[in-house]
Amino acid sequence: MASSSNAKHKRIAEEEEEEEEEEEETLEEIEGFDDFTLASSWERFISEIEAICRVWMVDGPKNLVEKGAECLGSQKKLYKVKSEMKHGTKLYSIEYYFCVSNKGKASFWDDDLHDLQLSFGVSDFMVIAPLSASGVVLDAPESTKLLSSVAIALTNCGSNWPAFVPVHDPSRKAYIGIQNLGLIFTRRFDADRIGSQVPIRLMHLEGLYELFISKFALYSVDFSASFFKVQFAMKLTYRSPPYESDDEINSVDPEVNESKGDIVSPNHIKTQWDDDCPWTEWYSAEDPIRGFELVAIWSGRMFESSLEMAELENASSFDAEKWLLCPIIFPFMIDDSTWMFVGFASQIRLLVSALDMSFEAQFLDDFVSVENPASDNSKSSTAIPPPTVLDRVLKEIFHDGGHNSHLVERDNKHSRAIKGAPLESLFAQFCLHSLWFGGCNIRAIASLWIEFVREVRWCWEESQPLPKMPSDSTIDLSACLIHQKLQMLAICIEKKNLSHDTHNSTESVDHTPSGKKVDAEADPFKEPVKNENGSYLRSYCHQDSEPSTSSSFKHHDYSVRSPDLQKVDQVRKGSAGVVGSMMLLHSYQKMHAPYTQDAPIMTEDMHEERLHAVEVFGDAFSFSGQLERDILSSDMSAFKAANPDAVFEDFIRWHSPGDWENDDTDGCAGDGNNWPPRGKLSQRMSEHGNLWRQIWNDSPPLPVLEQKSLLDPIREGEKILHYLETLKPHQLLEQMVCTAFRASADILNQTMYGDFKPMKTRFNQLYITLASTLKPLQANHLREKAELIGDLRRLCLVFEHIEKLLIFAASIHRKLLDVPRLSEAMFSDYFNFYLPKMGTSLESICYDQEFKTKQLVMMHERDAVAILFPPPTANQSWRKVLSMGNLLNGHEPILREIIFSINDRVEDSHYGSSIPMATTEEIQTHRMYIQGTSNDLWVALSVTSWD
Amino acid sequence: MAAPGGNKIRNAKLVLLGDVGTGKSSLVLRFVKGQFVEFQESTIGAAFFSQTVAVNDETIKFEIWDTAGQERYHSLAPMYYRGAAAAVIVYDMTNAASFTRAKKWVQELQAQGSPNTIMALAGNKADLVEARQVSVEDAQTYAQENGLFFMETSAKTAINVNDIFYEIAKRLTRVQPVQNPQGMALADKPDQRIVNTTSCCS
Repeated sequence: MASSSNAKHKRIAEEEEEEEEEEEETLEEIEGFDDFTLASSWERFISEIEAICRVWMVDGPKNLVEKGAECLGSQKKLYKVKSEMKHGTKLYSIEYYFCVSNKGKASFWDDDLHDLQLSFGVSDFMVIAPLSASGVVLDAPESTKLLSSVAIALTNCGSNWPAFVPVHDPSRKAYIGIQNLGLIFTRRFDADRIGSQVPIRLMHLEGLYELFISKFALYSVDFSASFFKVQFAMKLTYRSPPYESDDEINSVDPEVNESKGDIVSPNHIKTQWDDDCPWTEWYSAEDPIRGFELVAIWSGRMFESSLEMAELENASSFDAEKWLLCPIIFPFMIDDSTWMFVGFASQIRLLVSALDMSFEAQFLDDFVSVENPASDNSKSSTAIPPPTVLDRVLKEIFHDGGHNSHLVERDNKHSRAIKGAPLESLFAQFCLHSLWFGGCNIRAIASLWIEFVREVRWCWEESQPLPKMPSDSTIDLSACLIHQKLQMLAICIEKKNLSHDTHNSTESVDHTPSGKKVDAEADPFKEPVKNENGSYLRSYCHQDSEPSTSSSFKHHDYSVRSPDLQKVDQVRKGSAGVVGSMMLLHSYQKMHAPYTQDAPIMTEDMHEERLHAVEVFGDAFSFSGQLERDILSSDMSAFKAANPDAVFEDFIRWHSPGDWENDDTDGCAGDGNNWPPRGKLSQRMSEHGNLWRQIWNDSPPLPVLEQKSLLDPIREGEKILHYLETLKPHQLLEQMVCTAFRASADILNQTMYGDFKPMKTRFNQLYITLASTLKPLQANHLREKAELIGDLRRLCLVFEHIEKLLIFAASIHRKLLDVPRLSEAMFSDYFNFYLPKMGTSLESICYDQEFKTKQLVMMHERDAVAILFPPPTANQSWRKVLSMGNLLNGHEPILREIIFSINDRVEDSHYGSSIPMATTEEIQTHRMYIQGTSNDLWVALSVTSWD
Repeated sequence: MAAPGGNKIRNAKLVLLGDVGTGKSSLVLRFVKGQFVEFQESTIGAAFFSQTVAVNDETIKFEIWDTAGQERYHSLAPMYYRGAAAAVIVYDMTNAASFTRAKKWVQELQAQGSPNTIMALAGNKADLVEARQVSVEDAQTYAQENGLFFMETSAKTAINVNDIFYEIAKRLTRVQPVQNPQGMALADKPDQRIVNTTSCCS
């Protein structure tokens, strides 16, 4: 049986490893001859092991990996293959662990090392264990037998893999093992653990050193006097104390509280770590970093006596060769099952659900009224918060000004691409408050919106300026429609007020004949004056327009025909000042720029309506917008009023200088000597029947004050309120979703996180993703609803990842403020660890893999890192019994690992010549690995002998 | 969003911007009607035209907004370039000032317009070679630096007029709208973003 399987394996091997065939064949022929006629079951067992080992050996690591060997560890260095076999009634598993990229010897303290590699200093190895619940061999003879079987099998194969058998109780993690080193040497391994009551002697380095010496120096009883060159390496792991305020002996482990789910831990007694982070206005995040683990490594020292060991125990951890730091990360970062993350992402997800429901009704009131069956469908989580809460929130939205206004909004151009409202604006604040208002369900939102609109109407009717809406701005067409409407309403309110004010107060200001004093027109006090029509009187001046204080002006003062002295028969009205030194063509007067009406403000729906009208009606070839014609006419009237003697050509010179052709080359109109200015209208303007001239002829001289306003604030204001009051639920929700995403991203983006590059890149990508995904939301053509909602949910998930990572980045940044290199490196490590989680699926992936990538701490960074370990207060220190040395700021290590080893020179003549290893090398005769805390001690010993 | 693919007609909003008297209306007139009027009346506000161009198996229907060059109408411009799939910025190659003005328009579009807008720079009045003030090299360099494509055109002689519109159409078809931005893939590169052709908001 065994031979046939052997042969089969051989065949496979031959097929796969053509080149090694020859060599293997001879090997098999010489050593692989088995006689089964006399074989006992034990012998058959051995040959079975042998067969398995041969296959593995023949395959070699590369092929094994290709055949699907299991990868262990995060760095993909260690692999495992497994097989099973039977001996008597018992089943055994046999595992072979191997390294693929073993470039030389890995350092002792490589994080990725398997326990056994670390303990015994081996690289590839085998483990054979019974397939039982405990997975260990309890019976001493059995374990010896098992180990012998493997050893024989391996020898038969000519392999020098070490083999291990787990023994005793599983908690002891005890192993015995053996390794053939050529023909002469054998290494034996043994490991065991003391779980409690570690003898005091073994807590100290001195005692441990003596323990090691005792293992080989049997002939010498007096250790202290003996003289051995023992190599020593040590790794100490410290853990920073939890971030708690010192006086609170709130020893309740935060882990206990962590299952509270959706309540955002306001009861935690500890001071909030994120107090000054931008999101705290809305929620409080659990600190993703629970603490730090610092590993201090002493390596490659030589010791000759136990006294030196005792000295070392008092050494400061600052003397260690290497420091490595690793954050201990709160499991919620990757494990969604135990902790429901509460942040913007979670709330926006609720908002998306509300959007999903919003299609059910025509009016927002339907959601609030009780009779509506739609609201009964889902009773849970559809409560409307009590009126007191509603009032408070409304008050915060409308009156709680001032906050954050100092924050300079990082004007992210990506943010503008999201069709929402700017962070500090009224609608954005409404959206943010809705997120946290009554669980963000559709009914709560509807009730808040209705009250919100009521409040806006109150402002309109009482002519109160809208809070958080600057009224002097133009309308931002990249914002969502509600924001545009509110912007326009704010302007309408202001214009409404102005028309009241100016009617009641002085009317004379602008009626002062400007001929009296030209400069006065350009005076600052006149600039911001708004006229009674309610439009801003903006002086529409040319680039070259300036107050006339130049020397040329003085020149005119002396002139007999100075414009200042000459009384104009008609009264000049609505002048905003002279235009440079331009003179009118037909009278020796300075040209005055008139105040002109602002171009009427329009929201995007008005724009669209207008463009649409032009598209529909405007196929007449020379169609021009009525609006622009009105503006032109208004400008002409104003110009005529400001320059009573002006002709059409003057207007063109001011309004469309490109259509005026100067005759002379030096003929800038600026020089008063050259009056009258020589030139002519462009050909196109002087054509007969020119539309411009027609409009000019039809426009009466009227200053803007007396013109009909291009914008009727009352009418427009009422239209806006009508829009707000009859807004369809889904239209509101769509805009809310966009604005909530944008505002949340903007808030998070204000976080100080040291601008770690991967974070920054991801954040910008988030903006882009948001913009592109949200784009179809407010377009008129809605896609399949289910698909849209699905997209939005996915977007929430992406947002959550970024939000969590950002909180993590903020946390690590502030904890390692003085060592930016380190915090950035650690962030990058974690980022790469987290990355696979950011899949696109809705389901959350759980991985149990723990983040333990350590970062090397540079020498100059050590002081800053040591701050993470504040000296314990008296209160804390008396509770602890310090039993190990090497304190770091009064903290003793949580784990101490030591490797002792001693080498011996192998002498050629003494051992013969057929030793496979390089004969001049030293070999490690004894090696001991000790891992311990003050409560337990685990010792692994390997001894090389030549028996 | 215009339905992608096939022989479908795609609408594309196109806007012409530039200084007074650079010949924006003449360019459009040449492209749409094949006509040229020596002294085209100055546009008041804006005018609307439409014209289709066939590229391979697709048809692009340009909705052309010809705007007025006067400074006074500047504040109305966003209404026209908002959501535009393409913008043609026109200057008069016999007038250096109009080239300066064209650069200002490019800046404004880069800052305010949609990032997907295809921008073309047209140096018009190329027939008036003897009066040239803006060299081809200067314009070409500027265009390259700012990611525009550039042609010298003449509405009078029809040089490059159809070509410039055809080139825009070709570029519009090249950037196919992504079927579905489903890809929550954060690996989204900025340049792979969807080009929205028509009335989509910017």
